[in-house]
Amino acid sequence: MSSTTTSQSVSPFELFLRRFKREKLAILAGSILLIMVLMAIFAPFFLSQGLNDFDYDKILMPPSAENWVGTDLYGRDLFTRLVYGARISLSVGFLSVTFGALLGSVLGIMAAYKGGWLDTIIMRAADVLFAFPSFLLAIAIVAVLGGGIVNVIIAIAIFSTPTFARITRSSALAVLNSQYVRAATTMGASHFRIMFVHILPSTIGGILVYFTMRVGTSVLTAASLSFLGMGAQPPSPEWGAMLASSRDFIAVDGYMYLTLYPGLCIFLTVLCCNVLGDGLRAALDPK
Amino acid sequence: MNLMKSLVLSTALVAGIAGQAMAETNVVIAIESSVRTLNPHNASITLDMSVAGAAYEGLFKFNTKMEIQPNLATGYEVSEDGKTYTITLNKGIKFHDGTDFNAEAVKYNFEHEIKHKLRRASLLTNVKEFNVLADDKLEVVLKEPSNNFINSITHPSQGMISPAALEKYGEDIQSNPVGTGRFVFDKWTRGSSVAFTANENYWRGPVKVDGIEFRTVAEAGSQLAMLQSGQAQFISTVAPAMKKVIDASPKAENVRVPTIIGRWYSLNTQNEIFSDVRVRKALNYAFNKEAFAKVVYNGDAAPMTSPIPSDLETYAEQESYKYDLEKAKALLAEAGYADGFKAVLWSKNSTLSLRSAEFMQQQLEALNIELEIIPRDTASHYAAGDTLKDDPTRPVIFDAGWSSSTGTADWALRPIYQTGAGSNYALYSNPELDKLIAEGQITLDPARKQEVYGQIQEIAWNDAPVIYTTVDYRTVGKSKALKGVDFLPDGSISVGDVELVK
Repeated sequence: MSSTTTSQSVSPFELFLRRFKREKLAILAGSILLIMVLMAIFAPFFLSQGLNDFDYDKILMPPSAENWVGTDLYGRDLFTRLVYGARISLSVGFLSVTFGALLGSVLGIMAAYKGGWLDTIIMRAADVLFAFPSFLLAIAIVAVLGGGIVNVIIAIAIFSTPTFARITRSSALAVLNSQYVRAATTMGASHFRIMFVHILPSTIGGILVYFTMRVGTSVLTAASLSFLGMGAQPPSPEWGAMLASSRDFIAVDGYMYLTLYPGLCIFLTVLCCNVLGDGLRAALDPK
Repeated sequence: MNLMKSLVLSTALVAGIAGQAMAETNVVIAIESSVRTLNPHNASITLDMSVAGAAYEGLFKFNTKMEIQPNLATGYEVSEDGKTYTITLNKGIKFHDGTDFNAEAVKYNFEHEIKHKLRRASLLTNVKEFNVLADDKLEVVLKEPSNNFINSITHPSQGMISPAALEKYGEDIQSNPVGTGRFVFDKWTRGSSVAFTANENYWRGPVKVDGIEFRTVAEAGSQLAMLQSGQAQFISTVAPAMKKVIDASPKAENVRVPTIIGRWYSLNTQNEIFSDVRVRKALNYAFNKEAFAKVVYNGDAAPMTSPIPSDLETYAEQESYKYDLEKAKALLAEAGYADGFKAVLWSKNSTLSLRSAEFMQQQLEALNIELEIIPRDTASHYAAGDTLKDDPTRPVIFDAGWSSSTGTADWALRPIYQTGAGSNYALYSNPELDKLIAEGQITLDPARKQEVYGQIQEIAWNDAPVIYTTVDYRTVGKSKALKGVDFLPDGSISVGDVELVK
């Protein structure tokens, strides 16, 4: 027996983990997001008040030991509403981008693999969607479908799709002529198998980075739509809707807490998503 | 090259300054809803009449205490039997299109309104005929004696339109107002603004500003920002929390006005659930009026205690629907809705309307009533209200309110409770009440009149076709430099001798 291995072979995933450990800021951002998600999921277990519990004797109370970030116009605890709002805002962000990513990557791989007219149709359709500023496109879609949170998810999913298609297509094209894909073709693998078992994994990195950043953007878009009255409707605690319902207090001294904290939540989520996305990119693509 | 550049720059600068100097005498009034029509004769919203009021004048007008003042007319006489009115007009007044204002024009206006069945012709149902006695004298003969005819024609909807323009534009007069007023119509950008320029030949003398513009800004915070930055000189909504911001401002002030605006939520009585009076009463009992006033109006509102506001003639206090959740639950159970039901609440999208809709939603949740709020801008809201009768069985709760802009009890009740009336969004119908309403209009004896209106108030109150909420005090904001624009108790904005003092 002789040991011939001078260097251990390392799987790409292990390599990624090693590199990602060096991205301290991204880990911090990821942890904050994780805490937010956990709080949102387990909200009923640690909050003493219900989402819509109102108390007309305690309206517009500034932050205190009892109400950490104050109460709103109806005497509802704002912290409770922010936590429940995270459920809506985060899941809208996550769901819409997931749909967009699924649809986009399938279309992207098909475009790259089949080429020809299918490629032309898919990518030109994507170009058409790219021609619109994304927020304007979201407003247009919601205007057509009508308001409400489900339609916001659909709208964001639609305008996320072309970017994912483009990213997937370009990374798929890069591996299309690689030896292992050609080997698979020679061995008679089905088109489906080649596309989704052999090509897709190599495109995951790019998708993941973009996915993370996109979640932040879509939380922001959903909040903006709700702020404009086109997304979540009262009494929903969606962050944008919370901002909208207190916007006449923005200019008034002493009521800053009404708009500050929902705003901070949105800000923090978007920032964390972007930092995490940057960290992922650095770890996946060390060039 | 450099010389060229600085030349262009300085020209632009001078042009900019000149533009600003010119813009300074333009008055901007921010209003919370968009305008539906500029034909006051066919307007359903007080605000539409207010905007049209920049171009139109009536024969008489109300002052800030809702007292009748001469305007295009100098005065009137009534015959002994209360059936013949002789109105004397000012001479030498011309419409914006140069045609003469005279008794013939007044007759044409009223008759046109009646002939085309315009919305506000309901103020003239009692008129038998108009006779022109002279160029400046018009005789009006009524079918029945009336106690409120002059009030009716003082209503802000009864502005005088140029007969020539009515002929020229037909229905389009609604987007091309031609009156006798201080301001000449300039431009209407739908959903956004209506602009007027000064009338150079105004009969009372020169107008002191160059123009006036009504700009639709639904959101109270944006209105405040406009007032603070000088983009607007008058704002129609000051949300309670904003008052101290305006108080602290050196250039602006709050004006608090006690109103005769009653507010309620109409219950579609043609719907199966709301056709049951027990359900309607239950909703009234389940609504906490004190908390409502506190949350939505910061305490600056009083619960309604009769279908008409307490400052109106013949007001009779009714037994209040005191907040009583147990009673409400019992009534609802009796009607067979112990487990609640689902309904939709149609609301305006202004800040206070949305707030009060959300409050209503919370209140009714206690009865397991699930409300879906559908907000619309004011114009579409009332347009949707007009379609209720086309499909009358929907469980709709309709955000409504009314101000009697003639200052009479008749006008506070008839348009809301009479079968088929224009603002009867509850689609309510009660033959007994209809009869009393008809009688009330023609009763000259004050004691009998009080009695009739007392009965009407009692029946309407106990039938509860609406959820009665509050009579509010309105606070509007204005620049201290602005004179001549007033907010009247009926909720209209009166554009008078507008001036910006330095």
